[in-house]
Amino acid sequence: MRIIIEEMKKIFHPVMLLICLLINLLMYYIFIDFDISVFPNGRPATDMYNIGIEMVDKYGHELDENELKDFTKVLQQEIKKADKYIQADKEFSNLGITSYREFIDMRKENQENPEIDLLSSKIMFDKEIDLFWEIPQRENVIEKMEFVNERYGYSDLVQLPTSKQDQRIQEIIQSGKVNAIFPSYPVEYNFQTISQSIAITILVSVIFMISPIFIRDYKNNMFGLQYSSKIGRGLVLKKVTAGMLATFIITTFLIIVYYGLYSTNDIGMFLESEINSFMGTVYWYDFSFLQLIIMTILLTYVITLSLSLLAIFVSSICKNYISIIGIQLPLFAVLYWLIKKRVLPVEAFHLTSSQWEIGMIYSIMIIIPISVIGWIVRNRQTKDILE
Amino acid sequence: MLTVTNVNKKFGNESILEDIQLEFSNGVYGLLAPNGAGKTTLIKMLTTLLYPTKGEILYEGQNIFSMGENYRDLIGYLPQQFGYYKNYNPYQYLQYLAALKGISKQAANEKIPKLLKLVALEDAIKKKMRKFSGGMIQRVGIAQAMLNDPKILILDEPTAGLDPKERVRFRNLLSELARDRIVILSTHIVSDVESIANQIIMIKDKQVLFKDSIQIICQKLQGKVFETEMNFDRVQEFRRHYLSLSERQENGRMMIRFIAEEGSSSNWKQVNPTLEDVFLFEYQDHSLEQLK
Ligand SMILES: Nc1ncnc2c1ncn2[C@@H]1O[C@H](COP(=O)(O)OP(=O)(O)O)[C@@H](O)[C@H]1O
Ligand SMILES: [Mg+2]
Repeated sequence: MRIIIEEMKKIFHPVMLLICLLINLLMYYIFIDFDISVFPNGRPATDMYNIGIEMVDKYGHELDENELKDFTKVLQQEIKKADKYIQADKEFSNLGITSYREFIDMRKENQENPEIDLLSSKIMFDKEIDLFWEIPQRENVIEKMEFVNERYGYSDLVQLPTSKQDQRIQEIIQSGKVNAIFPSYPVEYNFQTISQSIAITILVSVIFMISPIFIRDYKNNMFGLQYSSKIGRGLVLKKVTAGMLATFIITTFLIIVYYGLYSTNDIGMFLESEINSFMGTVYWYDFSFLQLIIMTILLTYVITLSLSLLAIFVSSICKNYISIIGIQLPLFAVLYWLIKKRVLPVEAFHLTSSQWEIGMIYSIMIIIPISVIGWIVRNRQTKDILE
Repeated sequence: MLTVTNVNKKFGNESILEDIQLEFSNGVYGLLAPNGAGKTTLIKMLTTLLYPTKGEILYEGQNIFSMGENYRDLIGYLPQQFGYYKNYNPYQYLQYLAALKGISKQAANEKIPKLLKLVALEDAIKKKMRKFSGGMIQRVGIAQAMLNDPKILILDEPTAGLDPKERVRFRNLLSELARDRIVILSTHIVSDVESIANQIIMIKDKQVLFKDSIQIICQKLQGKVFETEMNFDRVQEFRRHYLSLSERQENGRMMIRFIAEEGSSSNWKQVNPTLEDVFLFEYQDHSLEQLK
């Protein structure tokens, strides 16, 4: 343990920590900050978010039939309010519009009519009348519920569902889980983009902190002293352990910081909501939003520990920092691509992600780094230390 | 007792050391040979960094590689290019190596100030090593080799970077340490080992040439080392016939120390051979050897 602590002291060298902090500040402001300070992002995201809160407040985490009726009633009241607003407004009467319905119909039919366009954008964007934003969102919610048997899940898919996908969709509908109240737009989307950014930021931090692990010793001519000391070639395994522990600490710390910041997005009321909601998308598993967050975090650990092991391996075979960057960059690019493709970690459980493929990708991410590290540990036992 | 039996070492197909036989018991051993002779290679085998291609190295009858950490626990090693972290101070550095050597933090805390005092660095204990001179670094290296109070102290060219005063200090320190341990010291500088080594080991053509006390080694040249005085214009011609060991000017004439099979002139003065003479004789230029 004493050796592992000494090795971790080298990893957490103050200068490295300082640079890592700067990297994180930079990455935070470039990638993460937007999804925290601008949430919900404009309209109708804000309206949908507010409607979601209202629904959870009133109906809890599921919407039953009576509650749907109530929700429809609220919509009708809102439409009445909109009617009143229209009737009181001269600009509307000048165009001969007397009700909300008329307004919507005219807007649909006369798409080229500049006067209606002008009025519409005045109401929506200049005056920002909440009613006119909220009503379509409410209608949307009701429509989704009405056609849940026909449409649920299909809107996510580009192709027709496979039989397995279809089975899963039917299962959610039949079990009634589909009644869950969860405004996946904007809550889930926001969580997904922010989780990607967080995972990438942690990866960069970990690569930066861990990569010097062996080459630092090599460059400083330490090998002769290290491998002739009592611990000898057993040091390799100690260093790997120290690297893994350090990665765990860095990842945990950054996860606490970034998901802590994420929690300021006020999504607490949705944590208990099931994510397979008629308002949202389909997952392979019955997770609550909180469970989805936890699983995402777990997968983030898998990714960072995996890349960290690779970084340790690369550090042990390279003779200079340039070649380390040369090998790490493509590895990082592959992971970055996978993350951006939403395969890891956020949409791993999504209906669109083949669980077989995801399983393969994660298995590879676990098996390859462990094998190459195992090889290095054994190889060092029998090899001459020439440096 | 440390025994090297029939050891060969090859790097790829290139043979570096062949059929090395050596025995070490307490005392100072000077491993004396020019650069590239294989001193470091031999030392790296003694410290388990390199595996012999053939042969065995035994400590008290046991193979050092199968002894593993039990053996490494007994050695202190100062590599030729020994490493350190520039941003560490001697205290941090020695604590790190103490950890590798399996020494507890408390024990190291007691030991480190004593060792730094031994190498006269007690005032620099909290000073970053990047600010150290070559001599100071080397002294930290010696301190680190002594951390585990080794039974076998192996130093690869330890005097490099030390100034003359430090060298003297260092030699005294080594004689002191060698009383109850094996000290193996490699160098290509004769004066480093001349005054302190109980035994000198010379390596030539991949093999052990001598392993004897200085006295006995010097006897090989007994009656063959002479000094004479001549005018400068004759020196060139003289050098072509005899191996000149050292030359210096005196009163407008040249004093030459050289080797000859037998005294053949009355103004040659026979002198006692020194280790330096033997070294120069044995490792003289190949071209000169052919001339003879
Ligand atoms: N890693 C290596 N690969 C090939 N040859 C080497 C290696 N290390 C040393 N040598 C060769 O072995 C010989 C002995 O080197 P070394 O043991 O360092 O000599 P010394 O320490 O006496 O100066 C030299 O000719 C050197 O070129
Ligand atoms: Mg050498």
